[in-house]
Amino acid sequence: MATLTRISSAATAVRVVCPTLDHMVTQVRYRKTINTRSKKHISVIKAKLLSVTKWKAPQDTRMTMAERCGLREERLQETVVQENPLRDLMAKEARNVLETSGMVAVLHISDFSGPDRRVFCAKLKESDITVRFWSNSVAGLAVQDTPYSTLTTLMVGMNMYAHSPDPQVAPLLKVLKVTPQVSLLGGLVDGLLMSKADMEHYAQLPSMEQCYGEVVSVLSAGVGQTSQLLQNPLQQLSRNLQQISSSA
Amino acid sequence: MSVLLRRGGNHIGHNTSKLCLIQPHHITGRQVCPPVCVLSAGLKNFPIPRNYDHVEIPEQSKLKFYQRVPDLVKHVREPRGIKMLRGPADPEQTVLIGKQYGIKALSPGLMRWGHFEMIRLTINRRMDTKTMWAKWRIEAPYKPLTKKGQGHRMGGGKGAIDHYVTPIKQDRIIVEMGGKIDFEVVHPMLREIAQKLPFQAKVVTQEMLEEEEREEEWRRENNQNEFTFEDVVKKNMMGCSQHISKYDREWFGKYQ
Repeated sequence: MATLTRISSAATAVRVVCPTLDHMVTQVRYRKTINTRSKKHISVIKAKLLSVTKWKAPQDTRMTMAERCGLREERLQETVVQENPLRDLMAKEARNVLETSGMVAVLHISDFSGPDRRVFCAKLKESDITVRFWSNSVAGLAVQDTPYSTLTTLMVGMNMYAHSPDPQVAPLLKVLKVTPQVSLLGGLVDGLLMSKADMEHYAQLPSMEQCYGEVVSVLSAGVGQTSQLLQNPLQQLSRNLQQISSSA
Repeated sequence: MSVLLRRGGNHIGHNTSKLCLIQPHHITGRQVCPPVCVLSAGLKNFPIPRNYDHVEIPEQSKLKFYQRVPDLVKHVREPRGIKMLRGPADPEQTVLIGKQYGIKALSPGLMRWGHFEMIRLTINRRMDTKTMWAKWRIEAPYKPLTKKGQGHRMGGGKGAIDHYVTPIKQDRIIVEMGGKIDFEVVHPMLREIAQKLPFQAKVVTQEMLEEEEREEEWRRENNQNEFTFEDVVKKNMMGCSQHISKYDREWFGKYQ
């Protein structure tokens, strides 16, 4: 009860203590209370007892709000998945995309439509990233028997999938920074399942050629150092001899 | 020849997928999709329809006509009996006999001949006698209600009988429908009727009723509150018996 109301009668007391009564409670009147224009009085003690003895739900052990708002666990187990050839076809398509693209990022959408969406898709298209929607059931089917089946943990709520033939994580993150309605949940990059933090780290890595160059330089540094060390005394000796010959 | 789903139109914007056949091009031999496509947005899943072979449709499947006034030799004026409306209906009156669809009363009330006619005409007009049946679950008006003439002062005895009504308790089934049809066919006409009744009513199916029963059972078993109103009343907790009526001792707050 957030607001303070002045309790002037039993009726208002009842409304303060238990503002809403159960829908099953009827409003049959008799004798003096037959005037249905006035609210029926209920004693405050009875109202309090009714509100105190209300039904309390058992604690929900499920983690996310999306799961808790869904069906109860027993009901979930009872639901039977019906045959749907269209859904199977879409799942096949999704699996094809999953296997052939270098990157598949799972994005969560909230209130995203119209020009914002078009601009978002256009910006991503510049870097050769396409955004597609598959429902959670279809995406779950697509991922079922693959080694990436743990992606089903991300398939809760409204999701879209950004995929490209090469892993283009940096351009994706750059565009996502500017669109607050879309958030990155995770993805599959270069055959590796990554979380959001992993993908951000991956984006900051230099390109493959640069990495090769760094590795080569690290390896050759050791070799170069040893060769330098070996050549150092000889060079020193030649310099000393030159000095002596020039001075003499 | 295999089939695949392709994004149609601009890739910017909402999804419109198209189903295409993959065929080799007649000259180059490359796999191409010809321009003849089917929009998958219009494709639907067609589930197998339910089997209603066990349902029999009687010969006279429409609702019977109910009289306005019962055929009595002597019409006797009765007490109002509003207390009789309290509480739930008999258990046999809250069950669907045909185990298909019906209207259930969610609060008590009195039904007049006008309501009966409204129900009868609506259903008989809309139903298909070959595939559906409809049945009354309530009696014709039998309870007399009196009324004094307009403008008369108090006194002079009880008024004359004005009209007849059927008293209806909460949770009673009013009318039932069924047949070789799905719920969607019957729902509009039953909903229209339920809205016009003089008490709160809703359209129910056998599945809904079973579901409610299961839900209630689950709630009873999984109540984390150690105290229920039933306990409070039976054990006279907090000395509340002063404020508890005989109906609470019977129905424990579920019905008033």
